[in-house]
Amino acid sequence: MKSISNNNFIMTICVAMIFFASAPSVFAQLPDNAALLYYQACLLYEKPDETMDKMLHDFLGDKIGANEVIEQHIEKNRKVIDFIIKAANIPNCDWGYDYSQGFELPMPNLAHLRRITFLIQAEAKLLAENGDYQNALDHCLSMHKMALHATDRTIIGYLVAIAISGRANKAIQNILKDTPGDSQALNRLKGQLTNIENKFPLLRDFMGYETEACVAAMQRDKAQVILDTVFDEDCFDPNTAKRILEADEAFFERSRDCYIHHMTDVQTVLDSSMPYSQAYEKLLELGEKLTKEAEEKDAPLAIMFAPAFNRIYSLSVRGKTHFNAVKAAIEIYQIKSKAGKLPDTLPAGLPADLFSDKPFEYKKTADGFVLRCPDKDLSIYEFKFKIKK
Amino acid sequence: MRPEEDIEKFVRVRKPHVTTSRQMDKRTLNDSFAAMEQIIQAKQTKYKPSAPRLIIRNRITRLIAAAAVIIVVISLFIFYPDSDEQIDAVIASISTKSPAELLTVASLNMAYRRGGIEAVEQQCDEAVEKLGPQPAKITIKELLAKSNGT
Amino acid sequence: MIIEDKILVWRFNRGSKDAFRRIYEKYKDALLGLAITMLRDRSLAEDIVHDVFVSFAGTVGTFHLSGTLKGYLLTCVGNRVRDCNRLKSERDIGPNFVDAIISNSDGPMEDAISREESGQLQELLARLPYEQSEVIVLHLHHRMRFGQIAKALGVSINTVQSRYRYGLDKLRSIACTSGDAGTGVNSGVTK
Repeated sequence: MKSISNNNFIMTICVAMIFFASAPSVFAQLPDNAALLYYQACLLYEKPDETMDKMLHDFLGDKIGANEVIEQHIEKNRKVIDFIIKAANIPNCDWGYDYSQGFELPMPNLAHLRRITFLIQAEAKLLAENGDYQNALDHCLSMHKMALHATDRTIIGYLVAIAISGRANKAIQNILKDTPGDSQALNRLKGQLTNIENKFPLLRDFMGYETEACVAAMQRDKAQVILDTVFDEDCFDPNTAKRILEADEAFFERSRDCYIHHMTDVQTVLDSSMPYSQAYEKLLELGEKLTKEAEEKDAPLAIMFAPAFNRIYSLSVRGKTHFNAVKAAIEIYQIKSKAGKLPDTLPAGLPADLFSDKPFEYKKTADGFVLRCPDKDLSIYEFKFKIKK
Repeated sequence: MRPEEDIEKFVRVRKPHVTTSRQMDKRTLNDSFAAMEQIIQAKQTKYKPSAPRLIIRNRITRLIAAAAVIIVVISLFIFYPDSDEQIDAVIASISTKSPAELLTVASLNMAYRRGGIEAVEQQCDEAVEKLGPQPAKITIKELLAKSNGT
Repeated sequence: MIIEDKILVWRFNRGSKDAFRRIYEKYKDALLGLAITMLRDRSLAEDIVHDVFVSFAGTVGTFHLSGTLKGYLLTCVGNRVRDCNRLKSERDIGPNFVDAIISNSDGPMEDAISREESGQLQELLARLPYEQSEVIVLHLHHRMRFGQIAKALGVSINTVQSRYRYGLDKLRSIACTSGDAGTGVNSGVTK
């Protein structure tokens, strides 16, 4: 009897050992596609009501300080945050789009991804205010990785990615004041920012799919879809809409030819290594040329489908300039931590403004310093950094 | 309200509501009529028809003018729609779009063209709003209760 | 309405003063409003509107309308205002503007608050490049479509939209940084 119970005991121990040895591989297996985790996070995220939404945005906009309600909201969505952080650290992200749908491709992930980055940004701010700047900065880097995941083949995905990345950089700007001159952490941050920035695609990478999708959409049998999706009544009068519905195949062919010609010219500019101002002017000129040609050849669809590339180009350069401003600021913080005070002038050799290819304009302020793009006068070309007193 | 909406509303509501003064109206109309008279008389002095020709010309002119007016009015009514309803039917309204329609590449591209990245973000928000609230959590007990029909 | 304008133009071309008067009555206030918004000087604005209508009157018999009559007249005012601004050395708001809304008007007095609000806007618009403020005013005050504005100004729709967007961005930036309490413009984080 005793030997039987001993055997049972040994068996139990063996089974338990096998179970626990394999447990990590059973419970800790992450997918190799970040999108799966993002989709789970989006499904789990309880959409905040209007009051909570406003409170979060006011908190992120520095209009109010942290409070219990915000902390509770973040805690309530702890699982969501965990999913997002894990997803951000998975290199591959395949949303499973059916690109054959072209312009009619729905992209629900963009809307939700945007929403959940606010959650991460809010927690990053809370962490920084509580002194955990390392985790706060890691959250910001996760936002950057989410931005990278938002890019796919479409220009609109790229634009949303630039917006998310911009918010991540802005969050880093705010958190840097809370770093106690930790040189190692700042160097690591700089390295990771460079790494992420190098992976960020360029506008020219999206031209191929965009052209393909638009040409596929400019078909006679898709006239009603065109009116439903790209016809802008702020730009074109209603009789143009009627014309599109009643037009013959030649009308659509003229528009496709005009559009392809334009996109080829734009691609040439984007592929070149022209300085920003020259490229911008050239893209503006191409836009004017398209309008003139489209009018002469009666091809209004070409205008409807072609976006203002000069504006998109400007946004993409601004995004990259923001990265440079943050990296330059990190160097300044490191100098400050060694010397005990901010430098009086901008040190040489720092990352520069990409609009002018010149160093940023540096100015000390009452609570920190400002890096400005030379020759630009809007506040969006100013990057403010604070110093904790 | 989002910044984009704010600034457009800000500009729109501050349209100055001005009216011209009677003095200005009088001056402008007098000077304009004088300019019209000058041009009309200059054209008339170029060609001075004889009386019989004038009479004949006037009758013919009146007939032609009448015919022209009839043709113009009829063609305007044929080629230009009576009301905006016919045209509105051609153009779909964004406010009736589903979340899926709001989040297509085309729709988001249009939003960008209209209002930049802020408009894209606004449209994303609108789409998510339309999806409505999601339950915070549902327990296994509740799930089982629902599936058992109790 | 487009049909009515075409008929008025047709009659005007045949020397009808009544048609001209109807055109004048229909568009005088809009044209004056545009000129005042862009110039902030009432007497100068009145002169420009006067000149535009007199010039228009001089085209009797030969005027050809492509586009809308309102768009054509607004463009004429815009062109003259632009030329006028080039000659003016300094765009100062001065007390002239606030009075400009009501001076010489036989109509009812402007509400004091709306006068002040219009003044706020003019001050902000004065800090934009002319091309941007022109597009903003034509689109938001006079409801011209971008396509119409593009055609009237002889530029592409993209250029018009760019000017509009950049102009609004700058207006927002100026309004936020000047801490204009009355603007009600949200300067918070983009949602």
